[in-house]
Amino acid sequence: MEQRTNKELMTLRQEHVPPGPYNVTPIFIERAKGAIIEDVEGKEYIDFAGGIGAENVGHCAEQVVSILKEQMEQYIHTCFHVVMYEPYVELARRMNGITPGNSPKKTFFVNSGAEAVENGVKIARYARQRGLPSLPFRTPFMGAPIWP
Amino acid sequence: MTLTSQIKPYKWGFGPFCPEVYRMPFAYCYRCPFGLEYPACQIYCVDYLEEFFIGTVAADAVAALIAEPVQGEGGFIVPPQGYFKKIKATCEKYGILFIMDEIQSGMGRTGKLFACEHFDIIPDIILSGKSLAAGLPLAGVTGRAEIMEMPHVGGLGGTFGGNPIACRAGLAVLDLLTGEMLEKAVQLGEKIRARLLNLQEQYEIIGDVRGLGPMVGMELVRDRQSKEPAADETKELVKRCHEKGLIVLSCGVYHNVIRTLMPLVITDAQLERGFSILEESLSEL
Repeated sequence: MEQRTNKELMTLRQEHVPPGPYNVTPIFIERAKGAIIEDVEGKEYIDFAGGIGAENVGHCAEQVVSILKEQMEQYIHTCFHVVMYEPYVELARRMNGITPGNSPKKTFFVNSGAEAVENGVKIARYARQRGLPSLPFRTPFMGAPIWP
Repeated sequence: MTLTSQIKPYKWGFGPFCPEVYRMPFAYCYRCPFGLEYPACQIYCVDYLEEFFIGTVAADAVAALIAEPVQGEGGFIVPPQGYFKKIKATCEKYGILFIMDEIQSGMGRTGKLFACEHFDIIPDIILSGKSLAAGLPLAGVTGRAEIMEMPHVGGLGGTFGGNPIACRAGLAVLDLLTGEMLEKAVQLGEKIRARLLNLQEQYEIIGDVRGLGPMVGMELVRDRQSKEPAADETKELVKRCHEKGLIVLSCGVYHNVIRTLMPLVITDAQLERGFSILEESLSEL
């Protein structure tokens, strides 16, 4: 792909992407490492946002990148419901171990926080057989789908 | 979106939403919804739950109570010690499941793996996400086995949920979030707090500095007495920061809180560079 400036890419964005998905800055990234983001024009930024708190271990942490490369060569997707894979069950085991509480726990995975909230509510409703309300506290954002 | 309380921009024009979702005022002590002061209030906002169950919805009909241990989009609000213990006790009294949304506050963000550890409570269900897979889309639902095993086979799941690439990233993240990184996170939190409190002494616009570990919020107000939210100023501050080379986000129901979500691996020099840009931008407001 040819190298374009932030301004050129912004024009492209405005032409082809609706305004609904908002943007906090007008810049496009070239690469990131640790707490530094470099834009397509070579300008460096200190990152206090971490992609909304999703980069606690740092952008492109070496251990993460090398494992991902290895995994990409092996298999990318089968769907857990079709053919299972070890990383899913192993991560579930680890999550059950590190979350607070000593009673036996179980974990399953979804694609986003919004889905996690929805599923938490679904399980609670099922478990309590109280089909009606859930009672969340005033929290301004719990995901974009209608339910959560 | 039904659960979301911030009408604009998230819900505006997108309705109707699911019925029978109820909201309680949060322990937002800087702007107490009941006009009280901690600790004299004795955490009245939880007692209010009992009144809620009489006049608004019967406790027997409530399946779950969801809360973030530190409110994220809501404005990085940290409830006082004792708040969640009292809530958990109320939930247990009525057989209501207590769900902690640790999507933003978890995975080391507050200096512990999960923020609810600061409050010494054990939720029935914990939701994780965001930093769980270092930027790959992955979220987890973890709960007591007897609850999690209840929904029937086929009742939960989806095509991409727990994708192998994302799960491998999650395993790598857990290997990284060990004692050493969490210790660094605690120190980072102290540095952020000290720097922002110092800025608060110099800049009248900073009404409140609060947080847990490196999850810190700075609330901007036009007047420290009236606490009128400085939303336009916050927007301008964010803009000036990125023009000078710092990417920073705001949050809060009044859009007037600057929040820190930097990677925990940030170096001291990078942190200082970020804060000097923040200070320079503050001085221009």
